[in-house]
Amino acid sequence: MTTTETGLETTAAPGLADLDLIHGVADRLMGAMTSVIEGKPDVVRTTVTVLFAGGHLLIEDVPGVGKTMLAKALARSIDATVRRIQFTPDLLPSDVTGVSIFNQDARRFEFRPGAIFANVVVGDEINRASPKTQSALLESMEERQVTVDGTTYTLQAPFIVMATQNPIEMEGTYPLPEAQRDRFMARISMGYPAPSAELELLESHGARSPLDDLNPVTDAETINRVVQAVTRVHASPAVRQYIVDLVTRTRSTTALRLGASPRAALHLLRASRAFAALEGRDHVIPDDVQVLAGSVLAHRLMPSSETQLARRTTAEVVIDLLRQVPVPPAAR
Amino acid sequence: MTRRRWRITLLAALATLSAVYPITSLFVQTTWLGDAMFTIALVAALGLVARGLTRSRTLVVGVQVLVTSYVVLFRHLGDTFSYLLPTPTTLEEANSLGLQALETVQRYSAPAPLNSGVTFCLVVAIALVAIAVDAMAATWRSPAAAGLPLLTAYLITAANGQSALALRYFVVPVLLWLVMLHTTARAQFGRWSTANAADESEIDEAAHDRAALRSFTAGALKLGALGVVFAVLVPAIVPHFPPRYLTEGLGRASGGGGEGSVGFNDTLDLSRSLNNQDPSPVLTYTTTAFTRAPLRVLATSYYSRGQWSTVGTSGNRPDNPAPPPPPSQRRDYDITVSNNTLAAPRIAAPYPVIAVAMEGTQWVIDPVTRDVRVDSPVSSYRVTYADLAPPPPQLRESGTPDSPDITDDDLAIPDRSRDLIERWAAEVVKDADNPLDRAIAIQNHLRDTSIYTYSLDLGEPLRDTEGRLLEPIQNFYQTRRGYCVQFATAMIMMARAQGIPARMAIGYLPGQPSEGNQYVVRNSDAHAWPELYFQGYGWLRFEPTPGARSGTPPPYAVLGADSGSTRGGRDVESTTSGRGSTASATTSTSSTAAPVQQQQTLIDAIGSAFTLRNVVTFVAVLLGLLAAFVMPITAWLLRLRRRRAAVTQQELIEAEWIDLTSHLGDLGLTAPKGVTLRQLRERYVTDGHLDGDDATTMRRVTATLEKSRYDRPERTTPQEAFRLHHDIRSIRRQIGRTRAWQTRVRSFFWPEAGVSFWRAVPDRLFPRRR
Repeated sequence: MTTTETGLETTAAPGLADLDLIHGVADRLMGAMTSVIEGKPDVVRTTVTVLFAGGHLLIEDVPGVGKTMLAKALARSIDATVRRIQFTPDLLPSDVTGVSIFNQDARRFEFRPGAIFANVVVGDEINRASPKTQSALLESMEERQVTVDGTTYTLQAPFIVMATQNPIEMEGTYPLPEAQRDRFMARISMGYPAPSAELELLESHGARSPLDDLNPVTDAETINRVVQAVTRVHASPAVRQYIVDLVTRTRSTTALRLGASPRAALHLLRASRAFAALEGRDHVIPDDVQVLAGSVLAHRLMPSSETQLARRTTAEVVIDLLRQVPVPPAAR
Repeated sequence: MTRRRWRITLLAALATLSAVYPITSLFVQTTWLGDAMFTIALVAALGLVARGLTRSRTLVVGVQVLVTSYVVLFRHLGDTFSYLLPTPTTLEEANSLGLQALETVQRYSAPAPLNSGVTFCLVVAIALVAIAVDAMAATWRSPAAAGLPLLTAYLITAANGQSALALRYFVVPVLLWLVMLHTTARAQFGRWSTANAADESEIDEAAHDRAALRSFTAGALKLGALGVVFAVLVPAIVPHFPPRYLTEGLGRASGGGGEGSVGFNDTLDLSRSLNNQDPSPVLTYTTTAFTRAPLRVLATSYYSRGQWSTVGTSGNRPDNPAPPPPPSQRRDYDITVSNNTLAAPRIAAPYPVIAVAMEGTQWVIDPVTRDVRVDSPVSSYRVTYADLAPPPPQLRESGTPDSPDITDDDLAIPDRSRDLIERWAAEVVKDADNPLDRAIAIQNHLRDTSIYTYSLDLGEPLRDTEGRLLEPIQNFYQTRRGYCVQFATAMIMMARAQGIPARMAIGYLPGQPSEGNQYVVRNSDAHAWPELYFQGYGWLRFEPTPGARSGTPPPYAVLGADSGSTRGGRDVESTTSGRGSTASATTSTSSTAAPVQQQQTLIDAIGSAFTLRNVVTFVAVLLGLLAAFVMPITAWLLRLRRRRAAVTQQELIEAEWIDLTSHLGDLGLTAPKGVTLRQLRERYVTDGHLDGDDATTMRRVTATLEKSRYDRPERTTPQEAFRLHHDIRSIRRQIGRTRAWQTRVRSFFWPEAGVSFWRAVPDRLFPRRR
């Protein structure tokens, strides 16, 4: 299946995914990132998966566990343009998208691109920006283009936004509405490092940031090819049926007020493809879907009041659903 | 409710009585029936009273058992009680009564004489059945279960009776049982409906309940009707069983003629006639003769493949009967037969028949054998027959047989046994130089009880070195035991080997005296004897069968009778009366075991195997097997259907996998709903204790399946699919080995696939309306 959603030129001939290419890039990337983010292989893996699937990543966790470090590590590992936006309440939409200003010499308006014009955009503390700014960012994320004063500017590929968010409610934050969180392919949380990893962290980070030693291991062009290769990973009817079953169940279950959107299903499939490719397979199996379902679906769902009263998270609800939905075609 | 209890108790008692009633056909007297009725009534009354007093069901049954056993013991062994209590002597006496019953059952076939032991055991058994039926039907209110003890009681008769059980014996208990079911079901249904009506208090509801009750009754009626249809149809469909199982009775072979009649079939399977231990007389007669002669029914010369047969007679047959000997050489007697039940076309009469007088049917005398054939059964007739009584000296000089009466069949000897018979005959005859002496030598040799044993039980048929069944004559020569048919056959063959024409006669011994000057012939009097031809005198009877169930040799066939009167007068009778009395005395006791002629051909052996007991056992075993294998067969058929439905390789692999998961599920390794293949595989490997190669096999199977399911379909090679088949079989075996044998047996006889199919059947047949 070829797609234009990623904004890429799809020149892919029908054929097989270039697993060697994907695997090579993934190994190098994960190797580089693991040297910075220690003891979090799953987080690194999901990050790379989202990158390969052409999606955006929402990193949600308490302050100080390395959210920004993860985003930066990925950015540094790729030889591509990287921008970092520190979201603040007074950040304006034009700061993100860019602005047309009048050039006195040339006597015409010139577009000065905003922070979004980069391959990798790291949006720090996205929930501190005003909703207006947030929506400017999110629209460009979805459409992969920016329209300023009637002129449309296409963003370069690859394009990945890695936004961090602090879940603890604080003064002056504007939490992303569920509808907007839907734009992110996956949400991950870092979690605290294991004691041994933390010990090592104290040692290595004492003198200087390990990010300084990080050299790019791949470039934008390669990532483009990888993203394209991933779209050719085979997803059998059974797997697609499984994804649809899962998503349908999120809409019918009483544990949730809002189920997953069709976009969620699409994201889940794309992420599963990338994950399968990372595993060295050129076809998706239900295990891939199960591994990713929590990351891909949980942040889009709204719990029902009963679920909230029971203090259960949507991630737990997703795990329950995984236990209930039969894996096709075993139980036809 | 009380009224209903009363009714169901009465029904249970009646059903018990009707189920044990057929036992009347097993015993000659029916005096035990009073005892049985008393016991059943006692059990019912005890149940009724006890249920009124206590709610404890166990207590009710306990009271029934205790009081009933006391009363039964008191009635039968009251004289051993001291101070109204049973003593150790009572137990001993009960034991000896049981032994007496056991002996009776072993010694007599039905109908057996009744004695105190049998009565006691019967009453005990009936009490047990009555208590069981009452407990299930009334105390536990599940009359469906009461069907089992009822069936047990019914089977006592069915399994032991030699004759057929009439349809009414089956229908009456079944109907009572159905009524019992209906009564209880109504009562329970009524409870539901009143509860509903109370809840809803709407008229519509009550009407709805009535409609539901009607439809319930209709459904039950349909099922009941279906059951009866099956009971009649199934035995008719199953091959080789008598097709009129229920309507006419089991074990009544096709050769037997109509209801209540007795006869010999065309293959002269005498064992079947001898088997019929019906006590009712075949016929009664009066005779004018001093010495009663056996009543011959038919004679045949045709022996083939180990059996005598009336068909296939070859050679030239005279059109008219040979003239009887002149009156000077014979003495005529009359025999008047009444109450004849012998089936047409046969009648029984002593040989040779001179004249016949009967009304209501056409009759003819067979020109060769001189037996009388009739067109339809006659109840009474009179026959004049001749007592040939030829003097031995003349017989010795009778010369070479040469008469149109004699055909080649009369001298035929089976090829397989020719050598043996000739050697044997030569041994026996030694230097006797005339036919009569040779015949007498053969007869006396066979009557020698130090050499031969009269036995109704032939034992296992012997085989020769090549494993073939021995020719019956060879078998007889080896085992030296048999009954009339074997002795007669041996004599005929030896006589033929000595050049004397001989043939087989079948009929009845003269029977026992009855009231007045009448004699009664019963089925147990069936007999076979040889007839040898003497020129100028015709066919003469000999009696080679020794011991109990045998006739007396005619005077000419007794050595040393030369000097006496040749007229069969007093002196002859004195010889025979002594023998005759012993014969008749022993006949009554030895007429019990069923002689089974095992020396016959295979087909006949199969035919004779269809006794009532065998057929009932066979049907029961067959039904049991069928019932036991319903689930495995269903599962197997479902599996087959799934395989057949699988067109693509993918579907075939999927079908194999479903088989495996369902089988492993039966072995206790269930597959939870939401697990993926890999998770399931790990579960199987861990819980199935697969290690090493088996774990690798399991991984290979799941890898192939995963490929087939989730990869591009063309990627899976036929080799992989083929290997999958073998791998799955090896996994099944391996995991099966790690399970307890109980689990394995259950997984075989109770596979979930089959069970769930049958569970779903009611829903499929009667889709829920609501």
